[in-house]
Amino acid sequence: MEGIFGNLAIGFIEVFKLQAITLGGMTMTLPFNIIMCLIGVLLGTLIGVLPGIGPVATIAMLLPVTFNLAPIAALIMLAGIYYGAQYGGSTTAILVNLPGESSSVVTCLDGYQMARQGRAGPALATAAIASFFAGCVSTLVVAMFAPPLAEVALKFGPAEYFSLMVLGLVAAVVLASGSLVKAICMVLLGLLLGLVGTDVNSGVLRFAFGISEMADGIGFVTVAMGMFGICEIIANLEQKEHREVFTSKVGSLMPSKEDWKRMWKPILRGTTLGSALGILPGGGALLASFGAYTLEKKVSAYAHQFGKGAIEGVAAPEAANNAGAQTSFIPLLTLGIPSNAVMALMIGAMMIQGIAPGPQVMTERPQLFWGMIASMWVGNLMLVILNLPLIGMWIKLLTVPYRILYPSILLFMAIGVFSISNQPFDCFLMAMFGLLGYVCVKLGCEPAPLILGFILGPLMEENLRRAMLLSRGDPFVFISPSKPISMGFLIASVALLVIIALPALRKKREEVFVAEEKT
Amino acid sequence: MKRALLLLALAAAASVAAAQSWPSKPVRLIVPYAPGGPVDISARLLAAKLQDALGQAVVPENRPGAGGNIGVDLAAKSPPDGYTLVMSAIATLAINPSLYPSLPYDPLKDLRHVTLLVQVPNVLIVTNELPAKNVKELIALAKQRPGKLDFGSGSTGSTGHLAGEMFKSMTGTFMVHIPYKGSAPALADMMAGRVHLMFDNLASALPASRPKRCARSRRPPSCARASCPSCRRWTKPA
Repeated sequence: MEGIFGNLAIGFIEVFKLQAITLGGMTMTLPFNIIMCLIGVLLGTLIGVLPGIGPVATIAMLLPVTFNLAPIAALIMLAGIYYGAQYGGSTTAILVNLPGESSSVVTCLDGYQMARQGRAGPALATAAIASFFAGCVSTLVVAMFAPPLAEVALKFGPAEYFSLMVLGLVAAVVLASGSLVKAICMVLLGLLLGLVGTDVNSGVLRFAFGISEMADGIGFVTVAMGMFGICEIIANLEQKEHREVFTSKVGSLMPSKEDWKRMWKPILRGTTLGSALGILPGGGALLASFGAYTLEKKVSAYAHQFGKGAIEGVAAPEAANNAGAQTSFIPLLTLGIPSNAVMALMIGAMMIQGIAPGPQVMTERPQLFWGMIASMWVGNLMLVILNLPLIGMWIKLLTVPYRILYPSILLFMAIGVFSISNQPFDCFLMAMFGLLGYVCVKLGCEPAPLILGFILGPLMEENLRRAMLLSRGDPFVFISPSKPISMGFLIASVALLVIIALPALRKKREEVFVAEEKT
Repeated sequence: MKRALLLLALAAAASVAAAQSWPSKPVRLIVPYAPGGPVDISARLLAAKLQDALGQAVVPENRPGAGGNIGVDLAAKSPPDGYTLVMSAIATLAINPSLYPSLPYDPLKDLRHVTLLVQVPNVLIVTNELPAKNVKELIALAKQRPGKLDFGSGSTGSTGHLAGEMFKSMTGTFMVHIPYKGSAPALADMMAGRVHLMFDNLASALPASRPKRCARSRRPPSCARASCPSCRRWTKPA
């Protein structure tokens, strides 16, 4: 423990260090690193709020700016953009049912419902508080356990990933609040959509219809924004000018005592799950938010309120995605392996600065390593201080007349989707998914299971085929005693299936019967 | 195998007449890959320097998709006025024309090649679990255990994949190719010992191979020996 405190002291000294900066001929003494951290989180919040514009494009654009900075200042700023974006992403999800960041898709489910009930303030505050708590705890996790956790991440091979995805898929059915059969259909549709693109093993194009823009598959943001954002706008316009105006019933801005009581446990669980999944390469934060929501729905005493504005449904996934965002630094810092596109950019930034990422960073450049970790703490604090007062301003956004609000939302969505790969085609695709989403809403099918199937499908196929290739076609590789993790996940999946299939075993069985009668 | 990673190609028939006043407006630098990759980072480094030298803005523009074909095709179809540059790699200029049944552009006719920017060598790295200590032992091991060794790569048709296949045909060994989506997950599996070896470009292999506990990368001289052209030299006497 003493070592940790000593190291953190090095980090905080580095973050708050005063440096002589020459600006326009004037030399000033400033705590430069902390200013870069502030700039980073401010930018991050901004791009998080703007739907579709993600941290990857922003960091790439800012990369040249960092060439002339000290390595530590550059990395502190870039990291700030990344986790700042996770904070901001929930804002539009809650206010207008539009995920600002891919990891805030789940927040739409209950956050938007809370806003409809005039509880946008508490929803936003819950998101900020959950993110803050999760950010602080998971930073501590990074500081204390980074090396051993990296070993755990390495234990996850193709077989383990596949079994984890199976568990996730089974759990996806639970995500739906309505009919079970419809949820399964939506998962299957999501799996099919996920197949579009180049097959990893053979390099053959599948379901691309000769459109080269579809050679790499359909973008996740495109689907999510279409199914949630555009669909919501169509559904709203259906009711002429009678759109629900939430503003008349905006209650208090802060969560009530009852809310606090209900949200602390989900925040804790979300943080734990998020920290764990964040270390796995490949969409950790995204899976974490879905996983946390599913878990809450299973264990919460308020399960019947999920999808109808349960505060747990905001607190848990928001905590999870922020925790996942922080712990996804672990593979980067300890193994030199990027767990997502943002981390790959961070590696690029480090290399440009002449630092080879990997475990030696911790020992060779302790100021840099611990300075970065300390900056995450400071950054999280800044974010919550920044975001809480902003809530009042965001709520005002809802008073904007809908005829002005929705074209601007559409415009921002189009810009966001376009900015991902500069393809006009993606905007058309988003519009088509908007229509599909509208049809689904009319049929009473929910988009969330589809989205999860869409994310898990390609990962599952890829890992299944890789595991089979590595085992030379032996299907028992998933349940062999040498792979206890994989076996554990599969056993859990079977157990979950049994629980779903035998409603008599379930606590809230009447809910399932109702769901089945509806079909 | 030296991997000629980046070639700066100009849209075809750049008019010489314009050379006097070029550039009189911002220059577009198409990057046919996603932000953050080695090509993107090189492009941004280049753009910053080029901008200072030319006195005009040089704007990198990411147009990823279809293995880089979308971005290069866009450059090939742009007006040939010298204001559209594209970062090309061995994939878009040499590999894709032979892999894709119909490529929308002809790398020789539709583009004018400006210069070779960056060369990144591919290195052969093996997991620590493997008893082989050098390339000779590795070949011996592969011959002794045909079809038992796995080699990973960032994707089907990548230089890593092709280098591996070349290695197989040159040494008369048989190993199984395990494709991944990008080098990073392949490296992770190799560090865990699930995949035995990999041909990967130095930039992405270096962070993983520096610590002694992970894959071992040989020191530069032997590194060159492990790479393919010299490997040919190396295997003939063997």
